Amino acid sequence: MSDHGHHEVREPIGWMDRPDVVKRLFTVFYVVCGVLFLAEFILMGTENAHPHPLEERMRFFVYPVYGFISFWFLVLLARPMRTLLIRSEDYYEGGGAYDPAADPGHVSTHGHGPARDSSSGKGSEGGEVSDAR
Amino acid sequence: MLGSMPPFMLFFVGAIVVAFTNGAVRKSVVLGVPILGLVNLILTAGGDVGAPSAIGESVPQIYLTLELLGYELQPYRADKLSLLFGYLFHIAAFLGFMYALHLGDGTPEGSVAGDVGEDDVIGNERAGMQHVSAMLYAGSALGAVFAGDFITLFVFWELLAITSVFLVWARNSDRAYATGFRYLIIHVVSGVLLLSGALMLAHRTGSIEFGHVAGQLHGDEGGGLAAAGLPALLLLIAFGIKAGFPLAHNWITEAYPESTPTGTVFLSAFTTKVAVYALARSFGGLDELIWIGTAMTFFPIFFAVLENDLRRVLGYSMINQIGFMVAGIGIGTALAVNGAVAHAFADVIFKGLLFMSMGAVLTMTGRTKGTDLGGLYKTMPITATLCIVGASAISAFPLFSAFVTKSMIMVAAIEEHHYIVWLFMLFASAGVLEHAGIKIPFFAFFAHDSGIRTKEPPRNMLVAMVIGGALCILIGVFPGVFYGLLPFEMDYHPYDTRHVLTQLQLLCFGALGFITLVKTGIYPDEKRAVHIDAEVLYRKLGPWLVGSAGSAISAVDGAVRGTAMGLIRSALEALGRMHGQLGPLARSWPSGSMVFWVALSLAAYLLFYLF
Repeated sequence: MSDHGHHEVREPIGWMDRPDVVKRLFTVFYVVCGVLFLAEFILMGTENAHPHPLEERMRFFVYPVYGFISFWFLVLLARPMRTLLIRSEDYYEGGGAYDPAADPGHVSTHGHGPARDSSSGKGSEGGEVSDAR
Repeated sequence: MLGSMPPFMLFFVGAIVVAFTNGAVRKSVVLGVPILGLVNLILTAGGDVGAPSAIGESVPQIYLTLELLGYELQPYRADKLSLLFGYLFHIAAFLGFMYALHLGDGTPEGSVAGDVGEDDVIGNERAGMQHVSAMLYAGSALGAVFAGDFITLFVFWELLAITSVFLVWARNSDRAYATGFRYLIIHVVSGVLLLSGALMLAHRTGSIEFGHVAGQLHGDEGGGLAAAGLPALLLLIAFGIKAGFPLAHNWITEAYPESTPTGTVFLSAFTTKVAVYALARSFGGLDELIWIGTAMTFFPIFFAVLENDLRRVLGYSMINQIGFMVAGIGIGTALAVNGAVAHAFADVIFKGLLFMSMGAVLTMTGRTKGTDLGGLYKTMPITATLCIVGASAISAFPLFSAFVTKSMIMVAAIEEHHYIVWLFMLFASAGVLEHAGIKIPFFAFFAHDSGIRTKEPPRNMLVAMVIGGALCILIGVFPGVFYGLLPFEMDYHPYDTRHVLTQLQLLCFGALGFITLVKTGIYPDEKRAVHIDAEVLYRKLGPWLVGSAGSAISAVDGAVRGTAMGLIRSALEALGRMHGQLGPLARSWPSGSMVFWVALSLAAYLLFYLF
């Protein structure tokens, strides 16, 4: 993550807007994940430095699977939580329920249009995810 | 003189000097005091300082005692536990003042904060007030960790609240004033509970020593809360409020986003860490803390996913990190408590760094909400990089600080067979990566371009962030040096192949989860909204209850008054009927008839007399 971070600042301004760079970073990240996954096989025969029974049992792909599932669990639980808990921004100053119509979402200050479309905006954002890391 | 001076003294004197100076003199004082204090502390540590007497066997050194109402006060007591926090608070104060050094110099060059009406956010107007209160605040934190008795602790405990609230008020908005008052009330309540608990403890044991409570009450440190009784419970709640225990945690998420960019850096360093220190000293090994801590690691990460204000996200993140520390203290082994205090140390620095990077964004743009930001990597690349260093540190990537501190708590949980707790913590570790590791840098500096064009923050802010980032990496790369400062003996080596591999697997596949969530459109958007939390109890329900109770009381009161008034009125009317103008007892009779009756009685008298 940090390596990317250090790398980023040397890039020219606006490099993240270039799809080829974004795509390359994605590829690098997927390769890293693949290597980490395969490393499990390489380490299979070696001694475990941690003599703890639970970790012994948890050797095979439990960490990657657990990490992946944790994120999904977190978000899938947070979504219904939001419907239950969301209120307008001035709720504590006398406001009431959250009104999606009154929320402009992300505001751009340089004329790319007032707000992004929440359904179509996601794909392009997804393309930027690995850059952030 | 150095080497025996109570650490808080230097800061309190410094605060007085700061109050009457400005410009270059003030700048050198605010930077000089933490450095001088650190020298003082290192000279102190040159003496033979042992582990806390509660768990280790060596007796701490006491440098200062006073007598008050028959009790022996110890305003300055140092052992390895308090010294660790002492070093930490000096470093945090130095970083904080370095970060705040530009205050009073006018609006930073390139700032667009004024465009959104947030000129005052920069806090230039109140530079003196912020410096003085931060200096007193840091001094109070040092006073609290070097307090040898509960009375001294109480004094500094309350001072922590009173001095720090000015850092919230310095924001100079209505919302900040209201938040500051709530903050103050919550902390004063905590202090009152602390004093009550301490007095009850003194009544039972005859001692006001700030030590292990269960140990003081019945000689051993086990037995849970039930065995220790009410004094322990009061102290635990007092500490718990400051540590952000569940339901008492919202002062953190309220005050930190409302303070000034520089004020929040100080706030995040001291209060909660003093509470962690107090828990480590007084409640090490208390079973209840394991589950309280686990709950603290767990629930805030859901709020952090949803929250829009990035400094409030960091507030939730703070509760999550303290959860690891509280659980470690509850586990209570040497490794676990070392892990807890080591993690507190690392947290002050990486969380400070994250708050600094968000403060830099706020200073320069006047915004900290995810919906308002994005694309700042183009104009603030150094800040973005340093933010990512902080994010990597809090996410516990190998070679960064949390990797060598949090893992101690995790390993201790397994060693003590707390498997469920361990699984929760592992989940919470993934959650940290989500909100602090990815969300904070992603929404502020990347995501989609908000179009904001600004500059890097003032140089002093960058210097503070660079030092913070360097410390995050130094602790992560050379854990041995750092471990030498920890209070208890242990044998722990964070870097082995499996630990590095499994941690990287957890984090990278977690990130892969994030990518899939965003690509499938399931990841929740940032919304301009609030998400209600326990604070609704005292910000909405409380006032509503008071309001309803008020109207109920006034209704009952009205009814009672009405009935009483009716009764009184009818009594008066009855009296009126009897004695009123036309009443039989008050009717005016013609005087002629009176003369007649008098004449008649005289005649009767005459008749009796004559015959």
